[in-house]
Amino acid sequence: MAHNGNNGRFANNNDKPKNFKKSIAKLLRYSKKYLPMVIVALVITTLAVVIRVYSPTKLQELSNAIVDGFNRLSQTGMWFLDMKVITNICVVILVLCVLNFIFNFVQGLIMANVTQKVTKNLRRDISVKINKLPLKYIDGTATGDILSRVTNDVDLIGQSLNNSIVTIVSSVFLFFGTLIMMFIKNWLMAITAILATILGFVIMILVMKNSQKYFVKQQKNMGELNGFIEEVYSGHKIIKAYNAESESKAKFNVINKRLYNSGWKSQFYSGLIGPLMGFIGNLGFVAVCVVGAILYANGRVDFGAITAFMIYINLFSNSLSQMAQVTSSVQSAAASSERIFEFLDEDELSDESSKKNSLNPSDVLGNVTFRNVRFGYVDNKTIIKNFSVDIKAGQKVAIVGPTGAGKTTIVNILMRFYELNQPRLILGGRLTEYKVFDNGKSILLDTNSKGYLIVNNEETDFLVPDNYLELFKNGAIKFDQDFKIYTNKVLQPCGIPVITGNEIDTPNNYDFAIAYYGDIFIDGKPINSLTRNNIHDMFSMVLQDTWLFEGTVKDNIVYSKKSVSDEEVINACQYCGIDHFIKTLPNGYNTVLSDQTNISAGQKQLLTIARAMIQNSPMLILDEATSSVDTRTEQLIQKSMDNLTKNRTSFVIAHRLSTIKNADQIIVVKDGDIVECGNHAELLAKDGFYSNLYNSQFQEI
Amino acid sequence: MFRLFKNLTKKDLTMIFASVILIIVQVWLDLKLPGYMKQITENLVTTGGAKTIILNYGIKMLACALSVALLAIIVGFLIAKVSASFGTVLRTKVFDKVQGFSLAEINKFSTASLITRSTNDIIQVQNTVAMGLQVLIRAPIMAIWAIVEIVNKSWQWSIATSVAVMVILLLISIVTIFAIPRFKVIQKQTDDLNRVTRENILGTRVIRAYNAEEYEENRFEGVNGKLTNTHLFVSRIMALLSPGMNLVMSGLTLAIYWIGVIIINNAGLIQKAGLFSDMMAYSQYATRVIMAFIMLALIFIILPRAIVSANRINEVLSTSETIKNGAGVNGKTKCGEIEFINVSFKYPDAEEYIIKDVSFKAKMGETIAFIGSTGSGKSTLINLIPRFYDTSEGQILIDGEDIKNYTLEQIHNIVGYISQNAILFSGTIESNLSVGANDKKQYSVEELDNVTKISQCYDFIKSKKEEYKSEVTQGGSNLSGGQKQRLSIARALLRNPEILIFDDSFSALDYKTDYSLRQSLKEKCGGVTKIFVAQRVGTIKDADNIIVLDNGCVVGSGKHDWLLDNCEVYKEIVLSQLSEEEIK
Repeated sequence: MAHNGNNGRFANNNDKPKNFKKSIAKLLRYSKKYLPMVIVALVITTLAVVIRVYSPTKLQELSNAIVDGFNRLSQTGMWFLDMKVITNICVVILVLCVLNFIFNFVQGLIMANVTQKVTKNLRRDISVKINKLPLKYIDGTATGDILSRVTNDVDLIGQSLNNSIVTIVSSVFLFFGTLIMMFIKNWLMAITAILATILGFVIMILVMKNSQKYFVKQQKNMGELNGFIEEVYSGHKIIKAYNAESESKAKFNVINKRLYNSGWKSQFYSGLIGPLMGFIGNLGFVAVCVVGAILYANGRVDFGAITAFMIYINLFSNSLSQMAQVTSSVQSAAASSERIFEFLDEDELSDESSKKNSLNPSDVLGNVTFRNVRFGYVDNKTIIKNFSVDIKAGQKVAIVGPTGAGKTTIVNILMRFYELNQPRLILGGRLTEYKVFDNGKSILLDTNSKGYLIVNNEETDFLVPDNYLELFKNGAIKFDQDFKIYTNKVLQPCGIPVITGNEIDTPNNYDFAIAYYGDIFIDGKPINSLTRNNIHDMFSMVLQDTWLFEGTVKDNIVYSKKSVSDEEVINACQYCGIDHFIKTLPNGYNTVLSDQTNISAGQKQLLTIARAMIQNSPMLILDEATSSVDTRTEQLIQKSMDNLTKNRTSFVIAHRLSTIKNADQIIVVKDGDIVECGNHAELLAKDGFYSNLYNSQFQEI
Repeated sequence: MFRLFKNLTKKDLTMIFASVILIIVQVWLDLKLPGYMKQITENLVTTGGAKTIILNYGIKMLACALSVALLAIIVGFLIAKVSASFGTVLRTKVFDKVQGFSLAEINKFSTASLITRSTNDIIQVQNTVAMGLQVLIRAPIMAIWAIVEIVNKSWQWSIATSVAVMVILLLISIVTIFAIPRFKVIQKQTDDLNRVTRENILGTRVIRAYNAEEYEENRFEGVNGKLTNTHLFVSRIMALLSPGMNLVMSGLTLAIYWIGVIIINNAGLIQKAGLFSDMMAYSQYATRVIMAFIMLALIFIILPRAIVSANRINEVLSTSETIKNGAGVNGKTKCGEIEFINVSFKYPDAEEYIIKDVSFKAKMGETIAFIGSTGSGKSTLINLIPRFYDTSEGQILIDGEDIKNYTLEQIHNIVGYISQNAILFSGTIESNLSVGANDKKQYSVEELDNVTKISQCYDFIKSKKEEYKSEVTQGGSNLSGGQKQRLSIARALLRNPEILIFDDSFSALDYKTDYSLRQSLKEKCGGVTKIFVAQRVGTIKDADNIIVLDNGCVVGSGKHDWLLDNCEVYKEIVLSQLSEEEIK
């Protein structure tokens, strides 16, 4: 399927925009910076239109000058042409032609520049946006969908920007300009020309309206046929092995026949445009000729006017068809613009520039504490209900459970790919007045409300993060009982019994209650108080889906790390046992990895391990790094992973018994929630889910 | 391209011939228009215009214009029919051809490429025929005829026209030489842009974990900048095209008038009026000549793309099938015995053998299993049985007959093959189960119930509202991996084969289902020879004979317990999956 994920399939660019005006307005606001250039282009275009509308007049003069010669000849029998006047007119026309060319060309250059700048910015902004979006969005959106915005939608906008803005203005000017000029020259001929042209367009519109259904049908049949071909070719083996060729051929023929029927019809209709346009041209031409000639014969119009009208009628029908074209092009641009800005306006990750807290990765010990952690991907569906564990620096943590149980959830929240449900501190108690502090904001409540909900269950020790300590210290809350506040460095039960559920009444015996959704702590610091970048600096990660990009082997290993020497890279690779392989590649460490490079899944995995090694972070996350390779390669990878995990706090999503058995902590996950936690012996003794899993021939299923 | 035209039917050719005739008439009528105009002009300047004559010519002109339009519509109709029929025939031929391909041919092209060839490439050729045929016939006729009309009128005009034609050709050449190759570059750079973006999206977790957002943005800016520059280059050149053509067209008209005036001025009194009307007509003819050349040039810009597509289609059509159908074996008794005699296999152009000298024999009802690490050749080996590939050396016998003697249809009826990735088609569960029902058009509910019970999918089918009529979406995406595998097993059972081949088709089943499925296979399909390929030791532990493959060679065969003690590779595989104490 990966091969077939052509962009085309995702491109629903012909959709009508939901809000046409808004989308176009957004696009224009986005391109504001280039407005001066656009205005210059428009002014130039206007000049060009003026020239186009004016030059037939010159042609008229030229024709008249010649015809005058004939008139003189027939009246006086003498031939005389004022060649000087004629040469002058010709020179003027030539100059006008050249000017028109220059104006149009310059306008084209300016708009090409503007278009390319705008599209480049759009592409860049989309790309930058990807890295600012929460994973929730990215995991929930088809890759092809984002891709088609970067390419198809931006391209479409590019095309219509290039033509439309200018064409809208020029075609309108041309339309009115021609109209005015025609009426100035001769109203009767003008009406003739307009009627002829409009008659032609009415016929054309009727035909095209009628043809729309065939285009839709053809598109549908084509999609159907492509889908069928894709399905049959992908299932070729089965079709063969089950002697189903005649079956699929029969079905193919039916769809193919349908495509033939709608295909030739839509081809026929779209082929009508040419002859019809030609006919419109000819119709106008003949009408103007005849009417003009009669008027000329009656002496009501000069000969040159007929010549001029020949051109005007052309310009007039051109302006009409341009307007028609531009409307459809602007329509699709609006749809694309809507899709792009919809993406650019998605909510981004929270801004963390105000966070001052940070840990220096080189000083981090690697103590990780999960304290009363609650989490759910969807707001009202909590899957990790209340999980606490202390992981000491250097320990190995195995995360196990059946496929689809949500083992990666732990990685997701630890790395803050997904945010924990908002930590919330609610303080209550029988004080002189009741105060509720929610995320630091105090809300005054009336004295009749008695107490506040206590959400934590089972756990009796609460943790007050640094930033809330102030509230206690500055006396915003007074206690009439001996009540200790603990900093997060030393965790001690603070002695408040727990009421389960969201009970509103505080029992009489208690004056004070705290409800707090838990957090994860690294060396005692809640991860929420650290920036995401800071957290990521402390972890190296190797994932099940090896991720390499098209670039050299070295680039892939060094990646974003600054100032890494070649020696370090080679050392890391030797350590992972991949150095020899890299040296057999055509350009060694400078070989560009691409789809064509002959490199196995195992070797790819070793490269990502080398990358993690170069990163040299104090903590590690290994997500089933060996599931896609065979047993022997697995042993090789396992060895280098063991090297990597030495002295590092590591989280290993694992299915190998050896890894799991000697882990310091095993976190057992089932249906998203963490059901058990402890070391191998403890868990076996518990005789719970883990021991069940283990005894039923432990393996990935 | 032209080789493909052999696929045009007699009817198509007749229609094309008719089109040529009609187009000639059309051009003739079209070129009459300036002639009539000339008459009107002459009439105007000499006699000052006689209404009847003007109206007379006017009606003639209108009739001409109408006929031209009508003829064009008829030609459009014919060409639309021809091109659509051409595309339809090509599609059928390519589709039928691909249906006949063995896996060797499929792999040579890759499935994705074959899909493109059968869809986009054919559309491309079809569209070019539709657009091109008209222009290709019409433009030269128009150009030649129009030139003939004007050629002896005045050498000065002819020179002006030739210069204009040359300038136009030059302009188009510039665009062709500089811009067209860049379109390919743009295509490639767009692919790069797509690739980097795709990498960015797929690698989001890694990128964030390594704080490499900026690195990725720089990488994107690299390809983005390149793409933008190429676009800019191309659109600058393209900006020249339309104003340039306009300049040439109006320049030519001006030149004809200018020259005309001078000629008229210098001509004798009697010729003057004739020359003037000639001039009017000439400018019309010249415009048509130029348009014809522009059209032709555009065709030559479009044509290369179509030729590339045509060649790709030809490649498919001219590929011969490597697997030859056998003559057929009659009067064979059904028993399901299979034997490999010194079978080796390598891909046609490869040097290394994938399978080397494999021999074994399975009797009726036995279970044979193949195990080995990835790349050990076990899947390839069983792909030889339904003749997806043919052996390079050695022989495979089914019931004592070389499989090459059977017809492919016979082989496929004897062998029930279940693929590694369960392949389902859009339709219903029933339509999927009865794929390739052969002579039998419909299966009874009892038959369906029977096989779905064996393959452990009875319950989940019955739990669906429409049971066997439940919808299956393309690729079976609305079913889980395990459900798909069980359905594809049921599909094979339904055909009541002598030999069942499971190509790692238990991989998505959980341990319990795996077990019950094997149990019911044993009970209900005792007489069927079963061949397993598996990764999981649990699946094959009970087989009558386990054959261990390593790098295409048999390194051990026997029962589970015996192999554990005697085969190092087997032991390694088992150890990696089970802990020591569980093996015993």
